Amino acid sequence: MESNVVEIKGLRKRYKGFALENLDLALPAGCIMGLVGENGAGKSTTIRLIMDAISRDEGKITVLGVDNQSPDFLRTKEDIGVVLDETCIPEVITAKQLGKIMAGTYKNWEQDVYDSWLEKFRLPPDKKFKEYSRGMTMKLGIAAALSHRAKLLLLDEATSGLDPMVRDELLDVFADFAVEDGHAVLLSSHIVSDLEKICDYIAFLHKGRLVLCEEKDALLDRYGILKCTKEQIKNVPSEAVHSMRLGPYGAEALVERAFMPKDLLVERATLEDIILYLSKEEDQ
Amino acid sequence: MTALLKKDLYLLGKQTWILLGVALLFSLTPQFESFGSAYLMVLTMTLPLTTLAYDERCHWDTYLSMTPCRPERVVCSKYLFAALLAGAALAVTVLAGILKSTFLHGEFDLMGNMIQRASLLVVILTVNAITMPTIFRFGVEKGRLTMMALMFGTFGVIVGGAKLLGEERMFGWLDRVPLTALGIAAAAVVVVMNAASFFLSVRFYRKRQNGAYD
Repeated sequence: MESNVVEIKGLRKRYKGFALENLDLALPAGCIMGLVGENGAGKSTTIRLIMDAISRDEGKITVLGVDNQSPDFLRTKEDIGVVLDETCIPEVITAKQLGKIMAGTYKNWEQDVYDSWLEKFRLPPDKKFKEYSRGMTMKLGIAAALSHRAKLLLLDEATSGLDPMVRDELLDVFADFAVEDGHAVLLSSHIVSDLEKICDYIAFLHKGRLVLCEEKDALLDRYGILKCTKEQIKNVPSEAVHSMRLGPYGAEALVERAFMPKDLLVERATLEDIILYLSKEEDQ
Repeated sequence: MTALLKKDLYLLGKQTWILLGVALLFSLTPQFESFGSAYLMVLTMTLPLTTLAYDERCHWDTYLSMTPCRPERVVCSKYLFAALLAGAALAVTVLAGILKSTFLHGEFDLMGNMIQRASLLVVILTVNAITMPTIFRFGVEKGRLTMMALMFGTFGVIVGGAKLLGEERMFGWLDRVPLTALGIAAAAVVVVMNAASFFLSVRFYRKRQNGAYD
């Protein structure tokens, strides 16, 4: 039986004008989970709650087998690498100086590993952070996150604002990380195509609620896109149709293959299609 | 803790040493001695604010909340950094006194000089104790305003008081109080104020991290 690296049960957090409601999530070891959702859906809040950086109102979070509100969690943080959407590093600091700061912050810090990541990412060690491009800043954050023997990577929009080549390079790094024994990655992103490329599981947050959390392949098998006439769609069982668009030339709908009549052709849905249609369904 | 102190030193970079050098030059020049002391005092109080402003701008505290750094350690590093800067300022002025006495004036009243500088240290640490919780509660800009109000307010009370009441009535009592008692009282006030200030700052820091002031 595979163990869960992150387990969230009944999590609630309320702010003025926003609430994360009753979140249940489990990230198994060896997997990459994509956390997708619109701006303000609660992705960053979830990551901060996992790290106990903000306090929760209700629920329980276990990370690497440790309750994140227990005193032991401080030690567990050594095993978690985090990259935030803003790298949060002062602009006058150099990569070399950041290494020295991190060496005093993490007991498990491995300077040679950090140096090798700087080299691999072609990051100049003596250049000030403010002179780095967006891609370089994210790479520096990732280099730091990967240099203290982390078992879990939490990545909050780590690929947003990057060009496709850099994104691809980073996705390979995350995939390689997850392959190692007992490792896992939780990656929040707007870029659904990135998640489709590397994730094993997809969790979809919409307005603070978890709409789905499923294996990606099961999700892609379950749903499909139906393109047909307005007359044809009327004959489709209502339990099969999740959300549809009616246009002047016909109808397009996200459907569940299991409930579909065999005579209608259902196209493969991309993850983006599924997310978009499901969010529409939630809004209705 | 050393990592956080190191980070603050990196933030200030070369400017710390240049500014301390300038302060040393002022302190060595007889015409600018008082200005040198005032300059050093202001410098010592504003440099920790500069590091806090850098932290605030890049959301460094959000990053730290993801690391095994306790909030107490983060706040403590700021107090320690301010105290170390004040210590460095004290060292600079004492060094200036020794150099002046050796090369310019002859005799050097080490005790008198130390008392003067120690009172400077008391002022700096007291102002820090009041300013720090304001920064952790309201942010750096409001903390800076509090510090300025405090500095000008204190200056106004001292100068205004001396003008209105006369120097003897305003400061004469200082000569009548034994020096040791005055020193112990001042040290006690600084310790108590900084301890209370530290706990308040930790409380504000935790609440701020939790989004209570957003």
